[in-house]
Amino acid sequence: MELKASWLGEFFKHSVLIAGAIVVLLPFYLMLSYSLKSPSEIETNTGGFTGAQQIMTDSRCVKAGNAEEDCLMRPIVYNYTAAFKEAPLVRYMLNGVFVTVSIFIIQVIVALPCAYALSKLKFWGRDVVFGLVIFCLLIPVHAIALPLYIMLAKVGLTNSYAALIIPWTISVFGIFLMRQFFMTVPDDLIDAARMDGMSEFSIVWQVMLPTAIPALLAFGIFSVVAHWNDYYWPRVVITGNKDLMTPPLGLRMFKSDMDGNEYGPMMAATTVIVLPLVIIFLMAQRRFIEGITMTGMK
Amino acid sequence: MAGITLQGVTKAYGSQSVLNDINLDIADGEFLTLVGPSGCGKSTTLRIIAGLETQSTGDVFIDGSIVNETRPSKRDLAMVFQSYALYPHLTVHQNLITPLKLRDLTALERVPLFGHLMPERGKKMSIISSEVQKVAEILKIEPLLDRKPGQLSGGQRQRVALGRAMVRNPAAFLMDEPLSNLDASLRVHMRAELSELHRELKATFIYVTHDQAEALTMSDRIAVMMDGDLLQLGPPDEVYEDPTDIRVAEFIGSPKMNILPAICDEKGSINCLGQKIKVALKDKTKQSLSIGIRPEHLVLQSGAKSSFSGLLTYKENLGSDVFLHLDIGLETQKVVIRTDPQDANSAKIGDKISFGASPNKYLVFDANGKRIDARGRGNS
Repeated sequence: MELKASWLGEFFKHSVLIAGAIVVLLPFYLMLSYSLKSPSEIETNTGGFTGAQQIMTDSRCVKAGNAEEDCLMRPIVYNYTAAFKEAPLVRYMLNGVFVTVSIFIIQVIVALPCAYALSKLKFWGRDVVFGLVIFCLLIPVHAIALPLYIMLAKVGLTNSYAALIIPWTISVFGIFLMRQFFMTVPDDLIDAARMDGMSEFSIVWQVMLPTAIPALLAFGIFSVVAHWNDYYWPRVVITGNKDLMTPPLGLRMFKSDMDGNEYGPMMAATTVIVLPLVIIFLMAQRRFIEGITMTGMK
Repeated sequence: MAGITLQGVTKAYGSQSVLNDINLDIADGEFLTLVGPSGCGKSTTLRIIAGLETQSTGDVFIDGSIVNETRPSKRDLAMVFQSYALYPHLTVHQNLITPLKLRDLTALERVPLFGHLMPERGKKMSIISSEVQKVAEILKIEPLLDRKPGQLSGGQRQRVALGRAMVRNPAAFLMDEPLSNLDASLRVHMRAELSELHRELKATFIYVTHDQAEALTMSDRIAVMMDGDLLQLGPPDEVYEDPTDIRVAEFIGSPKMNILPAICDEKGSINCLGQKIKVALKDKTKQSLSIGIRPEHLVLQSGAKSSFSGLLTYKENLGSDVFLHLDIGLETQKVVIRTDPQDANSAKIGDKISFGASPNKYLVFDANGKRIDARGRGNS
């Protein structure tokens, strides 16, 4: 009796989880599949996951005046070459790397000393300051986007890397996360460093930083994913200069550049943009989960 | 090497007072133990000496000069923490050289990569390395130098923490319950090693513990603290034999000293549990008293007069000694007697046991717990 009940329970748990996994994975499945197929296969919804990979003719190549024999290729090759040829995808990705990495580094430079002060130093008003940090967590970005934009416009920084980076340099989430982690670092360790002759500044960078690597990694993934994928803010501040576009924004320009039914190259471009994040996440997965569970955030 | 003096040191957090007027004179090369129950202020005292905390009033002197405003690292003291507080991301070797690098290298020489170009750095580093090597040899931790603290056992970490203090060759060692994270047998072993180390280094040791046995075994002098007061300061024997306060009497010694209620009448005769005690007081006024007797000073008596009696409730056999726990009809207080196993053989649980003590072993305390000068008359 009991065995049957537990079997049913397991079955139920697993079916819910599998259903959830399908919902999450289906868009990625379609993205990958479309990036492999020829336009006609996408339209008629045939060819399974990979498509038949029959040699097809590149219609644009023909329009451009080339002989038809020179414009024959497999759909997968066509999709991915088109993705890189039709838009400066590499440039967009380099922009993305530069912006996300800069944001993360500055966030760490700001958040670590703040978190250290909020967790380990005693000063008047500390609890009030921490209350403010928590309060700032509640403010959605969109609520302050307009004032931020106006400020940046007034100082003439729109359409620049600075506009993409500066608004994100102070991460209250980062301060909060690191503060929670630092609370678990024993005070004795800091006192020992003080006895050894370290200044408060060196304690932050030579003692706290190395012990906080798992938490930093967790924060790093949150930060990099959020800003790599961010569409809203770059759309607001990058209005003219296509050279400054980040991948999601580039993707949009990409779409309007293309004919409406060129899903193949577009999905190929999307795959290329998503891939770095997936790879980083898989590499850091174990320590990432360590980092979140350790700080008690799930 | 230096003596350390505390003069009228107090510490208060807001209206809560943690230390009341601590005066302490620690001689050069002395092993002084601050002992007391948790929350008595002993760790705070140590941290004030270290400079990790500032006193509310009073002065701290090291080697005769006042250090109230001096940063912890400039006081030339080394501290060993209960949790060892080793840098978890550095190897044992790096843990040991860190305090020396911070002390001996200039800021420029410590800069990564660039620092290596400074002319003096190589010479200084080789001196530092030989210092570390010397300490590692003394503590027998050479095979561990390349490991990280996470890969060490409790005892090994303890040694590394000691080593990190020793490399600096400081004026004094401050130790904050360094043995309490070790298991019982290792703790006893390390007690002996610490005493030996103290003899070898001839340095000043200030040692904080809540374990009265550690205090008694290792120290030159013990300072017993309670509720922020320094109750008694003296050599272990003196504190044990001659406690000036009932709290000291109860805290030092295991098992605890027996405390019996007594009453003194106007003539100065003392009545304790219905028995007259042959102890003379100078001050012959009517007052209630407490009589303290160590378990080893109580002897079994076979029904003689002027002896106490109680029902045996528990026999604690330690092999070499037997502790007899007696119910003497008081709710709050049981009496413990230390006897030889042979003497205790015949006693059965539930038996009525008679016992007494030589009057000169009685310690008399007044109603406030202060010791009263009293003389026992003869033997009973």
